[in-house]
Amino acid sequence: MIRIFANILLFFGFFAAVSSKAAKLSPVFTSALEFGGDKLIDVTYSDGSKSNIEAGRGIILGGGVNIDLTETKPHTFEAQATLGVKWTSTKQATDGSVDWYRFPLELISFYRNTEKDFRIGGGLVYQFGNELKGSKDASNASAKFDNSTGYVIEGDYFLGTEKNMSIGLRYTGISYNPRISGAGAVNGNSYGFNFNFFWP
Amino acid sequence: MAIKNFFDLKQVKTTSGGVTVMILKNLILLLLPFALAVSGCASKGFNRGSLEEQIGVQKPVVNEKEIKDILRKKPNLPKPFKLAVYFKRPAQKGHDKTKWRWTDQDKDLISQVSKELKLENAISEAFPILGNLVVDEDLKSIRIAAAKHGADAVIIVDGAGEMDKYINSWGWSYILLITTAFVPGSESDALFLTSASMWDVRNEYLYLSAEAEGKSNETHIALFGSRDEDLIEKAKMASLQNLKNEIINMIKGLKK
Repeated sequence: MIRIFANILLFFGFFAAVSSKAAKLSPVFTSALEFGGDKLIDVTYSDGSKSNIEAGRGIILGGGVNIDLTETKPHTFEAQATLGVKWTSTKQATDGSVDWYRFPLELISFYRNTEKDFRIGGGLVYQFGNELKGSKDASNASAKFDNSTGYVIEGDYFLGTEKNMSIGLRYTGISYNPRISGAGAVNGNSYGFNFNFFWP
Repeated sequence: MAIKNFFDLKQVKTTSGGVTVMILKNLILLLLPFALAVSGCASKGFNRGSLEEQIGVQKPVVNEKEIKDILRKKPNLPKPFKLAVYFKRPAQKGHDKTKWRWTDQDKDLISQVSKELKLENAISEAFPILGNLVVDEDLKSIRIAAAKHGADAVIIVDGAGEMDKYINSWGWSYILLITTAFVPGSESDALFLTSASMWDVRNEYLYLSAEAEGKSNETHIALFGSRDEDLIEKAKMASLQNLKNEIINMIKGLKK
């Protein structure tokens, strides 16, 4: 799957290079906070307190490129490719904690309205390195999951005088297959909000 | 510490039939607000006001004294007269800065005007004023430069261009990304306005002023198509041709 993503990126890179027009390319920093999905882990601490991890929950930090493919106004189309890390954990305790890591590679196609300063789009997400990592007393909670492919839907509203920042809502549809025989897929669908910064 | 993991928690399997089905199901949700938000795909149009401002079309000054001063000026061109031509540097103001410059081909306009008007015996010669001889581009500075060249009159040529890029009906397919490589859904329009005014070098009498415009258009594939500069160049050429004809007709009129 990572090869498919790489090929898609190469495809656009190739056309951007051979194109007689200089496509407007901006580096982008992305961040998001997402919630939802099935419970992956439920921890009860020695003091009686509880903490859990939902499969879709996590904070995403990433970066990539945003390409204005048409440079038309007011309706324009953009492609955004980003690579990031999605992470969450249980409450940190002296006897251990559990972290949940994923590395999302996203390719999203956006319709953008430059007059009304919003964009809406959808695309694919490929998550690799999906792993629950337990430490100390929680080390037996560690587990690995297969790489998975899902989809993303995102809507953003642009802010700032240069319109180079956006806040938005997003939904990710994905499931994770544990590398444990007999364990079913875990629903990792998540919803959340995001903030993007585009270098002008 | 007691831990229950996803295996113990007996997760219910997701019921989706795979990524493709999920995408198709949600594509409708994606496209519905998208379709509602956009109606039509017409161009946003050119900002002629901004272009005219750039080529120096100004609101008239309503001032009794100035009007009287202007009316006192009288034409005093010899026949035939020496004509200088000055091309104002591109201002490139506004939100959409479209890059363009005067080319040698544009300045060839002078020799064309010169050739036609010499045949009519309206002018004895026409020559350009080089940009580096004019520090500030106000009328006084240009007249001084023209006087140094020994000209009787000077034509000041100004120009401004703008691009209008929009999508046609096919352009909506660009949401699929791949279509940006082969669907001709993009439209690029270029508009170029030129203006010319001919002034007496000695007393600043305005003999004529003319305006012309040129357009060019291209329907193209999003990732390909001509550069903005090339489309502006085409529009500029068309505009200058029209302006040249206007100037020649007006100077011929002066002769009568």
